Amino acid sequence: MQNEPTDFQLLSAINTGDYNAFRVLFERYYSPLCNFAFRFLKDDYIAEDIVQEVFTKIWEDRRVIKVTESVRSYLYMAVKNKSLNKIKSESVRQEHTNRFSEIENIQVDAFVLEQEEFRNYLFQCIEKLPPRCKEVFTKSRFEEMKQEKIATSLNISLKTVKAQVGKALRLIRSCLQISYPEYL
Amino acid sequence: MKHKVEIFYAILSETASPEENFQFQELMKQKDDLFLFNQIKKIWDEAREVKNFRSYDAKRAFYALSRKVEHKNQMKRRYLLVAASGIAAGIILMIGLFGLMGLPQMNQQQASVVFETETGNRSVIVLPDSSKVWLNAKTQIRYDADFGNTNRNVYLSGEGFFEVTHSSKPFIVNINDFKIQVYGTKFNVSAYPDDQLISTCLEEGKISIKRQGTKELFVEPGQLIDYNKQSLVFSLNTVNPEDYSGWRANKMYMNNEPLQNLAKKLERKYNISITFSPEKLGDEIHYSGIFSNESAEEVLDAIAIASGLEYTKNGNAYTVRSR
Repeated sequence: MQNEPTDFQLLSAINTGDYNAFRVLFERYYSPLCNFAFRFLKDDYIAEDIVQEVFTKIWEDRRVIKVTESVRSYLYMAVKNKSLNKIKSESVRQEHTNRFSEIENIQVDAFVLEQEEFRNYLFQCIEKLPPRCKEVFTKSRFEEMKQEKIATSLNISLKTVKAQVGKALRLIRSCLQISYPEYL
Repeated sequence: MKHKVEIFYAILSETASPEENFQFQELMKQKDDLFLFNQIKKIWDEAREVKNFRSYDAKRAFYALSRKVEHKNQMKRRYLLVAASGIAAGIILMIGLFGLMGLPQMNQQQASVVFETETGNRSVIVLPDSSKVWLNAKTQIRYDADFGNTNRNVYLSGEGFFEVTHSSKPFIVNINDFKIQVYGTKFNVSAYPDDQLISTCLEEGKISIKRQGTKELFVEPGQLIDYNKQSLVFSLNTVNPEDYSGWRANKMYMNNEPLQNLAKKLERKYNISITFSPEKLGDEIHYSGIFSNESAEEVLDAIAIASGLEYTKNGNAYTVRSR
């Protein structure tokens, strides 16, 4: 079995100008970081912009960049800081002012990183649910609909709603056990 | 007996019957089931936090980023001839032989600012919000004096390539009863009044197109949307967006280069010969600008006037000298 290169290995390769390593690191973290940035920015386009800026900077500084801690926390930290700067500088500021201090207080520590990682795996597992099961589950969790309302809106019985959500939870759990064993 | 997870779900959603409550209490006495419950609870609680998650397309983004990285490298090597006019409404960047082939005409009526290009002329303008618009020939763009303050509305006739900055104020390109709403992006619009089609091609980002009375149509990068003004039909094609904005850099592009280089390009393009007298003239005089479909003589005329030169012609051979 071929092992994926570690973040650290990738960064070392990037240091030497390996563009392919850069691509692998980018693809590994792009979507999770965009989702992280979205939490602050509430705009997926700006979120993508920020993440791309972070990576562009890494490439530009590839010769000198040194990461002492984990690459992952470096990336999340950079995305958080850039997001804050964006909010500060943009005209969107007024909308965001209230959230600004709230975000500033989010520490990019081991706990937050682990939580973020868990959420990414969780999201992927939800995405993989069978369509009907996913529909019932997301109505229940994302839209916070009551069981009765889900039943009426999908024209199914209350019993089916319960069974589908139960099934979703079981499937997500098994999916997490495989894709993210640390969850255990 | 119900599956344990369904009982957990009843507890978590606070819909448990007394019987389910009892079963739950019993289960919690088992270490394994308590553990299982905690796992399910974590999924349940965290699921709400991923509500806004989506899969971002890393491959596409990396392609876009690669182009930016490349572009930056190129920008270091060349920069554009920039003429800044101190116009309150914004800075205008003009590329080309302004004054010779025609400045983009700017009229400041009471409430709006208008830029126009004439046949054979292109230019770039920078709007007050720093968005850039490349105007192809015979194009007019107009925006209200309060652009950037209350709105970001522009009115287009002709063809433009837009590079729109991000802002909370929507950027809207109006073409008669057409609106293209922009969410920070690069795209090309061709909407000449005498053309049958209005063509919109998205290079990067997000836009939507809406004709009055129809639904908003979202466009993905690489898509070309043609609207037929006669049949009122939209059609969609996937294309290489650069093919649709290539006119911007068409094609002879000079950045502070010696005339000698331009002469070579002209020689190749028009099958003529150009000599300088004295020869060093070709290296001494530098030139910036864009030429497109002008004839060789038009180009030489333009340079002659701009640089204080003159030329004589003998068949296909041109000689350029100081005046």
